[in-house]
Amino acid sequence: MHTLRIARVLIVASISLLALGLGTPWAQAPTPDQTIRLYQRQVLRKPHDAGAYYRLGDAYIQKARESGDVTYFNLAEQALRKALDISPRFSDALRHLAYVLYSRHDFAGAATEARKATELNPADPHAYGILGDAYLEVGKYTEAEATYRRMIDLDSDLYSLSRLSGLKSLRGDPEGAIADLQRAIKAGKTEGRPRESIAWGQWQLGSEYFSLGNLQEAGARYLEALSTYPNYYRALAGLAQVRTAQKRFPEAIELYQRAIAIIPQPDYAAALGDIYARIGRPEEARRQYDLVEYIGYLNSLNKILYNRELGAFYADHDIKLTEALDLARKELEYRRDIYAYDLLAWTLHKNGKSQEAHPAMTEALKLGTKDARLFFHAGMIYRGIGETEKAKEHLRRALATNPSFHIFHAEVAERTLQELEGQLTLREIQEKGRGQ
Amino acid sequence: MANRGFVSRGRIAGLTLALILLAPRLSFAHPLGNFSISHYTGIRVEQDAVELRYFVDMAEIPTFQEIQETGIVPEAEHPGLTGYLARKAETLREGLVLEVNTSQLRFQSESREVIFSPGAGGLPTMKLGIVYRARLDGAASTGLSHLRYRDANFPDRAGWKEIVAVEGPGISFVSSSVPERDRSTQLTDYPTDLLNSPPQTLEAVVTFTREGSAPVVAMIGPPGSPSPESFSPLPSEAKEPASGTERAVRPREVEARVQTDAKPVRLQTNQQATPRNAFTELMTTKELGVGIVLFALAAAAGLGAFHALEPGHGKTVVAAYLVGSRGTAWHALLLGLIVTASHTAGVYLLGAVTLYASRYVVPERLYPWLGVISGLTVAGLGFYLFLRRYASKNHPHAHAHPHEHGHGHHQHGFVGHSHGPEGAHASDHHRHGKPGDAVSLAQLFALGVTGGIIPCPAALVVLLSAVALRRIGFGLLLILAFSVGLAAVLIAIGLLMIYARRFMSRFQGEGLLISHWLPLTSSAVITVLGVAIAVQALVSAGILQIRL
Repeated sequence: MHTLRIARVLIVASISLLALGLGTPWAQAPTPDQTIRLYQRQVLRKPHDAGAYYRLGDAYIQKARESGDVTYFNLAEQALRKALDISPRFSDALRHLAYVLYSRHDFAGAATEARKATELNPADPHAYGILGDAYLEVGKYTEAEATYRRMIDLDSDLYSLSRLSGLKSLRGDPEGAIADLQRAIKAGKTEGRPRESIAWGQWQLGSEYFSLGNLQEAGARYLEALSTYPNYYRALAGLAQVRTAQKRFPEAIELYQRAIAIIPQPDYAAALGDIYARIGRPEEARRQYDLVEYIGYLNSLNKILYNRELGAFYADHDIKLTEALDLARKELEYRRDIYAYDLLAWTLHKNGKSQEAHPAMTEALKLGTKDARLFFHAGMIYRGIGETEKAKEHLRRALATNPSFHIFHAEVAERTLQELEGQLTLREIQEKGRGQ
Repeated sequence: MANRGFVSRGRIAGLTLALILLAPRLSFAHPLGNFSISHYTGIRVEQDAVELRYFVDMAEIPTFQEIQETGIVPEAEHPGLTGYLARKAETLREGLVLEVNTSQLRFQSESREVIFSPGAGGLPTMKLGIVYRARLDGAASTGLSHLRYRDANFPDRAGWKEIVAVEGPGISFVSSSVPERDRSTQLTDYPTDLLNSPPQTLEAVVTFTREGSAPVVAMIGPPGSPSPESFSPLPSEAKEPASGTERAVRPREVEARVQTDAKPVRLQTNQQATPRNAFTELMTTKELGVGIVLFALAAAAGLGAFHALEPGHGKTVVAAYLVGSRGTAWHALLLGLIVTASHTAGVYLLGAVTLYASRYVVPERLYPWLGVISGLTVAGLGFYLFLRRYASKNHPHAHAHPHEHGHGHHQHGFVGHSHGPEGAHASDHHRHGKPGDAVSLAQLFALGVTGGIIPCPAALVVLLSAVALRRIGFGLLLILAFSVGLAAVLIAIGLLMIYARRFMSRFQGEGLLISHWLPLTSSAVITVLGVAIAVQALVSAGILQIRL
C-alpha cells in the first residue's frame, strides 16, 4: 500500500513535470545525499570500477561544498585515490583530487595533480581551471591567466566562466567580470549543473555588484541565489552584508544568524558583532567577538585555516595586534596573493610599522583591483607615512567604489579624508569621535 | 644492565620526549568537525505508546554558543542543568513531529541527561539525551498503522543524522524506511569510511501492526499522580476515518499520559578523533620551523647522552675493554660509533619487527631474549679474553717473536688483525695476543654490537610514537640523534679510560699491574658483566627468579 502510494505520487509528479515542460531542468537534480547513496551502492556492486569511485568522490565533494564539513573532503580523497589505484591515468580523478587538495589550501599539491591531469588529458578545461585556481591563490597571476585562457579556449561553461570572471575582478575589470558571470549562470542552467553551483555563480555576481557599490543589484542577485538554493549560507551572508550597508540592521542580524546556524564562519560572526556594536548592544557584540576568537583558536588546533579572517578581525578591532601580524606573516609564507599582502600591510600598519607596510600595500594594489577595502587600507597607510596626497587619493577611491563598504570603516575613511582635506580641526575630529 | 627502575624512567623519558616533540596536538576534537550538531532518534513502537530516545551531540562551537546563550556551566552535575535540561527538552520537542495514522501525537520528556566531554584543546563538547514518550491510545488502529516522524531541529547544519526504529513487544513492522540498528552506538562512535558516510536521515516512515486486539486504554499514571480529569482523549474521535481535507486542516491531538518507567538515558563520550585537514597538519609541522627541529634533535641527543650515563649499554664493558687493551683514541671513537650504529639499528629493527609482527609477538617479550643473547656474547668474549691473557701469563716473554708460531696459530680462530701504533707490526699476524692485547677490530666490533644492540625502551617508544603519528622520517632522525648523544658519551668514557691507562702506565711504566693484572681484571669484569646482563634479562623475562 505504501509503495503504491509512492508510485502514484511519482507518476503524478513526472506527468506534471513533463506538462510543465523543460523550463527548469536543473530543479530535478538529486540531492548530494541521494547521489552519494547511489554511488556507494554502485561501488559495492563494482568494486573494481574506477569510474564508480570517481563518481562517488564527486558526490562527496559536492556534499562537502554544501555542508562545509571537512569529513566529506577526506572521504572524497579516499574515493579518488582508490580510483587512481585502479586506474592511475584517470585524468578526471586526478583533476578532482586536485580540487580536494585545493579546498584544503594545499595549493602546491593541487597544482601538481592538476598539471598531471592536463598532461594526461589536454582537452579537459576543468583541469586547467583548477590549476589556474591554485596559481591564483598563491599569487602567480600571470600563470593563472595563461592557464585560464587555455581553459576558456576549450570550453565556456559555468565553472570556466566563473573562474575567468574572478580573474577579471582581481584585475580591476568588474564590468567584464559581471558580463562573464551572467553568461556563466545562463550556461549553468542550460547544462543542468547542481543547484549549489549555480547559486554560487549568482552569489559571486552579487559580490561583484556589492564591491561596485550597487546595493540594489547585489541584493537582487543574492535573493536569486536563495531561491535557487534555499538557505544557501553564502547568499544569506551576502544579503546580510547588503542589508548592513543599507542600514537595515534587524534584517541583517537575522540573516547573519541564519548563516551562522548553518556554517559558523568567523567573518560572519565578526560582521554580526560589528552590527551589535554599532546599534548599541555591546553584550551581544562581545559574544560574537568571543565566538570569532573561539573558532580561530579551535581551528588552529584542528588545522583548518582561517588565518586571514582571524588576522583581519584582530587588526580591525585593534586587539592582539602582535598575533595578527604573526598570522599575516604565516599566511604570506605559503600564499603570496594580493590579499595576503594586504593583510600583512594592514597588520604592520596597526602595529605602528607603516613604513614597512608601504611596500606590502603596493604589492597588494598591483593588479588594480577595484576593492574599497584595499583602497581604504592604502589610504590609512599613506597617511601613516605622511604622504597626504596619496592618502587622500586612495580614501576617495575607496568611498567612490563603495560608499558603504564597511559598517565602521566607511566612516573612518570619511572622517580621515575630511581631516586630511583640512575641513576639520583636530578638536572637531575628537568631538565627532566621542559622539559616536 | 637495566634494572626495573631504570626501565620505567627510560620509558617515561622516551614517552615525554615523544609527546613533546612529535605530538603537539594529541587532544581529540569532535569526530564530525567542530561545528557539527549530530542527531540520533531511536523510535520504539509499543502496544500503547511510542518512545523516542533523542540524542544530540554538539561539537565545540555549538557547545560554546549554547553556553554563551544560556549561561550554563559545562559540568555534568551542576545544579543549574536541571532547569536547563527541562527547557531544552521542550525546545527540542518543538522541532520534532510524530504522527501515527495522521494524528499528531503529543509527547513529553521523561528522562533527560547531559554530559560534557573535552574536545579539541580540552574545549567542551556536549551530548544531550532525552527520552520522550507518547501514548498511542486508539491512534493506532487494529489493522495497519502508519507512523511518520520528522526531525526539524538544526536544519542544514552539518552532522551525523540517524534514525532507527525497533518493535516493542506485541508490535511487528511491515515496512520501515529506517534500519533497526544504528551505526553510531547512539552517537558515541562515528565510523566513517568510503562506503559508509555519515547518514543524513531526518525522516522516518514505519508501517506496523499490533498483535492481538486493540488494547484497553489504561490509565496508569505515576504514583501520586494528579487525578484522571486531566486526561481527555476521546477514542471515538481518534478512530474517525479522516478525510483528505480534514487531515490537512486539523491534526488530531491525543493527550498523552506519561509513564515513568522508561529506561534512563545513558550517554557516553565519543570514540573517534576529528577528521583533520590532512595537508595543514603536515604543513603546520613544517611550520615548526628549523629552530624547533634543531631543538628537538638536540633534546634527543641530550637524552641519548644522559641515557648513556645510566647503567647499561655496555658502558662499563667499553670502559673495561679499553682499559684492559691497549686501545687508542681511535679505538674509543670506533667503539663508540659501533655502539651507536648497533643501537640505532637495534631500535629500527625492533621497531620494524614490532610493527609487522605486532599481531604475533608482543615487543616486550623480545627484550629479554635480546638481553640474553647480548649478555652471553659479552660474557663469551670476556671469557675468551680472560683465557688468552691468563694463558699468556705463562709465557715469560712479553714480546712476541716471529718464531713463536705455535701459539700464534691457535689464536687466530677469533681475532682479526690488530691495528694501532702499539701494534706496529700489525701485518705480522703471527703475533699472538700480548698481555695487554692490542685491540683487534673483530673484538671491537663484537663488543660494540653486543653493547649497543639492546635497544633501550625510551628510544623504542620515540620511534613507535613517531610511526603512530605518521612522522616516521622525523622519528628516525630523532633516534639517530639519540644514538649520537649516546655515542658521544661512550666515546668520552672510552677516551677517559684510555688516558687513564696511559696515565697510569706513564707513572708505573709497563709494570706488571698495567701489563698484566689490569687486562686480566678487565676481561674478568667483562665476563662477569656479560653474565649479569644475561641473568638480568632472564629475570626480567620471569624465567629466573632470584631472591636477594
